Amino acid sequence: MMTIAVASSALELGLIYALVALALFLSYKMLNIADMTTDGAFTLGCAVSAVMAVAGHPYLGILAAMLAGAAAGTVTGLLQTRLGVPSILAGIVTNAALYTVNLAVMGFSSNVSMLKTATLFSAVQGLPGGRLAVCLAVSALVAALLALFLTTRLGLSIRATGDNPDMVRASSIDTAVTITIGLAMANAITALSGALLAQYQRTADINLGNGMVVIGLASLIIGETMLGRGGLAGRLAGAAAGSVIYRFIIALALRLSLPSEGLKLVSAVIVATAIAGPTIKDRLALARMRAGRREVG
Amino acid sequence: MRTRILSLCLTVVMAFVMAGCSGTKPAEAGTYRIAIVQQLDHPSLDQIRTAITDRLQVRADELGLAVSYDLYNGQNDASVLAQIGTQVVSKGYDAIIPIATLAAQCMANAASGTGIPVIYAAISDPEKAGLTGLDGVTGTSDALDTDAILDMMLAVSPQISAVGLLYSNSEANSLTAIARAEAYLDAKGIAHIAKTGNTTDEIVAAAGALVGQVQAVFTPTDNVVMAAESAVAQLFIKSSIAHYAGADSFVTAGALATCGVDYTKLGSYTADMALDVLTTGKVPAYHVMEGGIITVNTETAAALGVDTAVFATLGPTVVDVVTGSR
Repeated sequence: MMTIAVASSALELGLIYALVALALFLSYKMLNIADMTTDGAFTLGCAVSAVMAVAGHPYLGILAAMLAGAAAGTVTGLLQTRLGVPSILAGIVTNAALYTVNLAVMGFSSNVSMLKTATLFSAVQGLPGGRLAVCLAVSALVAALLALFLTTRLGLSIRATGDNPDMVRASSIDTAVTITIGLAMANAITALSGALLAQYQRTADINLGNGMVVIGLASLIIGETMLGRGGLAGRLAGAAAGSVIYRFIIALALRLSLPSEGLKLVSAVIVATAIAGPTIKDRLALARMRAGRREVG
Repeated sequence: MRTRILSLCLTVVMAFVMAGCSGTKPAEAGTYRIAIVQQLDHPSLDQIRTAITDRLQVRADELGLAVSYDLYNGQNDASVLAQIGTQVVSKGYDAIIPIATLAAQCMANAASGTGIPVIYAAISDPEKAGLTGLDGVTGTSDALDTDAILDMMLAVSPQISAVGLLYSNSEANSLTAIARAEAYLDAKGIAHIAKTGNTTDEIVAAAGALVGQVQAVFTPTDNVVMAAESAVAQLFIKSSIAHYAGADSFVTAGALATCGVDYTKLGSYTADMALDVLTTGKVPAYHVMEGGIITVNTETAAALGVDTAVFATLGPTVVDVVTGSR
């Protein structure tokens, strides 16, 4: 009974952050761009959602956050495609600028408290598993829509752009458009994740997005390594699952009653072990096979 | 593929079961279990935590209670704090003592509706943080008396023409204090220049930008500047700029002086408050700690040529420290 609440919260947080993993799947795996805008876009989503929830419009806040994220992604895309700024630097520049924008959205305060406002989750407050259902519904919907989108003409162009931009240009498709649209979508999904998190935690802080791109990429790679590949839908599910697994790892590290300073080291060790798992297994199998051959021969 | 997922799920379940078998202390009858949640590793917060844990043991002995506590650290990560919140609630602690604003908000959120009292320590502005008017939530505030510090600055150097304001935009504690400082300086007709940063290197660069432009610098209770204070203090001392700050941890790191709260007393008061809430069940309104404790760094004063006798006239309590003490 004691661990159900902890597991449930790890699952809910994992599903919210899974959206960042999905966004990075689009920008990193499909478009082959390391999108540094993620941190800023996440915080932008938090800020917009928090401010609108306090003003009495939590649902509109989610939509507004997505639009804001899309705008941020568009700026990065334009910097990259029209102004010739290298992709990583374009993301870094937008990220830096977003810091001021986020502060401005929050009314030049670094913290917005929503402890007394109605949020998206207030509707399901009393119901057991209500919050989990909301998180699951949103993540599943976004994953499904993304999978569907990536099979459309535009989606395929985006996938091709990451694979072989020269070939795409030779086919008279404007890579500038595909990159910009791809980045706008990815950052809209990241901002959605931030918006959900702000309403889930009832607080928005300027530092919430710090390190989000690292956590997102880690979730992406954990999911891919542990759950293998299996077509587009399988990879998307893997990305989302990776995020949940990461949150469970942190919950486990917390549960182990180790000194509180050791939390990050323990999480890192568990993550490394999890990712190295398949390789270690293969090496052991190989060693066993070699030992077997030596015995026989 | 399916067996891999199955074995993965079973491993996770097993891990949870094993984790459940270790580390749970059986609650003895009449023991109060308290969770102390520190937001991040930081000298001021560490000082408060030590004061709380020391005082809990002393006071528990005085009252004849059995009190046990567990320490949690959020590593300044809001999601980790959220998971700590859920864990603390599910483990059934009798009270939660969060240290610093984000930790307090996350704990208040996690504990809402559960009846577990939250007694926060050192929140500069509980109203702004949304922590007032909540059931079962109270604590201590170290609201900064900006005017007193600026009065002190003018008493030491009456001829000041320009003051620097060094702080971080990402600190909720700083913005109100800086706004008050600007109003105070405008009223006195003194020019002020604000420089900000969000990481240690940015703060050092901001401090460097103030050199040659101001005669004194004011910093509120800003955790980010505190992390950079050793470097910043050296820079200011070399350029003969007096650094006035909001907390005594700054002064121990090299700033000239502060007029504020004794954080050890704040920690003790919070511990007393927590035990009172547990024994009487009544949750009082939050308590603003009295400031007025002037802490002066004698080494810095000597290097700047400031006569420390001035400070004795400004307040009832003056504590002298040297860099690196405590």
